Amino acid sequence: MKPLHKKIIHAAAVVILLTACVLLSLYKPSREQLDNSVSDELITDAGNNFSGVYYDFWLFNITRGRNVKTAVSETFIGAAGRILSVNEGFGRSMADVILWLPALAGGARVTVSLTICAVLAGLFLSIFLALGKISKNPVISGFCGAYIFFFRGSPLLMQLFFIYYGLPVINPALTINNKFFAAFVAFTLNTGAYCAEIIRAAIQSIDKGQFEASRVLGLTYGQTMRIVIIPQSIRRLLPPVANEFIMILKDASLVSIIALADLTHVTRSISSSASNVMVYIPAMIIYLIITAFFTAIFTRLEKRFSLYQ
Amino acid sequence: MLSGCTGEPPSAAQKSASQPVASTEAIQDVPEVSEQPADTGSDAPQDDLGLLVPGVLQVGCEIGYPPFEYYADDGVTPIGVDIDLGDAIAEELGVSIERQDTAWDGIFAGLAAKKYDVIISAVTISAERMENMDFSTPYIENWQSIVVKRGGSPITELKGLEGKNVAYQDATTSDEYLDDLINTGVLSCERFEYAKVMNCFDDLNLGRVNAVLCDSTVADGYISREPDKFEISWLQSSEPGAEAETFGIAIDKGNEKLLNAINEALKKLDESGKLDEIRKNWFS
Repeated sequence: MKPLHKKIIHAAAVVILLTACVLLSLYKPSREQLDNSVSDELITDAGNNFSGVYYDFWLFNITRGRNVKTAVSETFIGAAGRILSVNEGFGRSMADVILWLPALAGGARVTVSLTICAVLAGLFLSIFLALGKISKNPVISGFCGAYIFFFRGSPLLMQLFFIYYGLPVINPALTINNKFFAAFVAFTLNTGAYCAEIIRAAIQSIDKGQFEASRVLGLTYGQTMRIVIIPQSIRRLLPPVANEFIMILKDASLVSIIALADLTHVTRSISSSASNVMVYIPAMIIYLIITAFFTAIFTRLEKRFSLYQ
Repeated sequence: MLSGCTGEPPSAAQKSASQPVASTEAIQDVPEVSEQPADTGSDAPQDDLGLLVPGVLQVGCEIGYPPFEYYADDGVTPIGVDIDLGDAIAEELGVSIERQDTAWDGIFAGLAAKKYDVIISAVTISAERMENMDFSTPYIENWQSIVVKRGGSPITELKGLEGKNVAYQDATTSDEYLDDLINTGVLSCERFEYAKVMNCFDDLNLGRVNAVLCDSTVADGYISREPDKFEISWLQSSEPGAEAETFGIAIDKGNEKLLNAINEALKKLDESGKLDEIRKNWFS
């Protein structure tokens, strides 16, 4: 528990910050004022080639007018009742980044949701695959072994391409039109194979004596797994699963091939549209923020499950 | 004042400002309908167009190929020649338009797998491609061109590429053209193959390659934006007996209805001068 006076200081800080934000947003110039700052020459010179962009970020707003043919542009940021012209140097670069942020955030949303869905579903699938592979039944272990061999042995890019473009050609009934779902299927099938090996290794790393002891105590195979083995292996499989999660997060950039706009796809499109490679900097920072967030979650999980050690 | 003068792109930008991936989400909702276009389309007036989803022209394009299709400053609003053309055709056909930003290396597979109706993405009409898809009447003429850094030593003939580092975009007609030159023994050079045409110009700028082989229309777009960096030093049209390449709209093989409708629309746009207007707008 924090002491009371610290709580009060924190609460006061939040209130002051919020008030400052509300005041800032209230004294932000209107869209009209901002748009009017764009010079008439630029608009008349450009004619049909004029392109205007406007974003409202609550605390401040930004507008850019551009002649898309000659790439001449004017950018203005409005905040706290003032209008700043940011056309060169550092200010200009920051304005670029601000204008890209909504698009990049959209891409990040696709990347993160695809990764979370695929890893969760893949983990579920992998439990059966792992148990199947260590099963004594040769048919089951053979099938699971072949599945893992196939999905680990061929590139994810090709699997994705085949599921989205190949299956409809083989049989129209296998068509998956939803791009996100097609990517989800491919990533789940693929990460399922990797996680199965992680789980198998975790289970088999538990000392054989524990199986024998459980048998002596009269536990069935299912009970041994559920009560003795799996709780211990969870601690051991968390670090490699966290690793797999981060790998998938970055492999998600492959979905560009099926026209799903993930963070990398958006970054590349912006980069070639604006002929500006600097967009990779905010994009990489976004990747790092996402990774840091999920690494922290996995670290907490690991601490929690280490009770069993 | 600004919003009044801006026309189409900014209004689209405003929409996407609140919902940056609006376009991709909209497309994801479509699939259920598109599985049986014949059934659902029977009572719609546009069913004779042969569209996957009645009333919606779904277009595949690789956005990031200025000046044909690329994003405005907000990174979500597509602009360019093909964007204007697509809008004009959709208007002629009386349907709405939806675009899918596809990677170039998956763009033809997407058409074959019926992910969209047409490709309007600076697709050069070639005999090889015509085996797998149909093409509309051409809407733009184009030559292969060699772009070099301004102020360097210009490469004024094909032979000048001998032994040089040449950049081009993978699976484009520039790629095929260079293939032919090398296979027939006309010349040998170091090949730098990129997924995006922009990377070719980046590397030219950085001095990693000596020349970029690309469409003259694309070169034109880059040079008009950065006139002191690059110049076109050779055009295919200077070769004896050279024929211009043409860009067309690619349509799934055998979809006669849509092919005819689009050709009809292109003809009308040509006659009304709209097509010329679009071309003049983007090229000097």
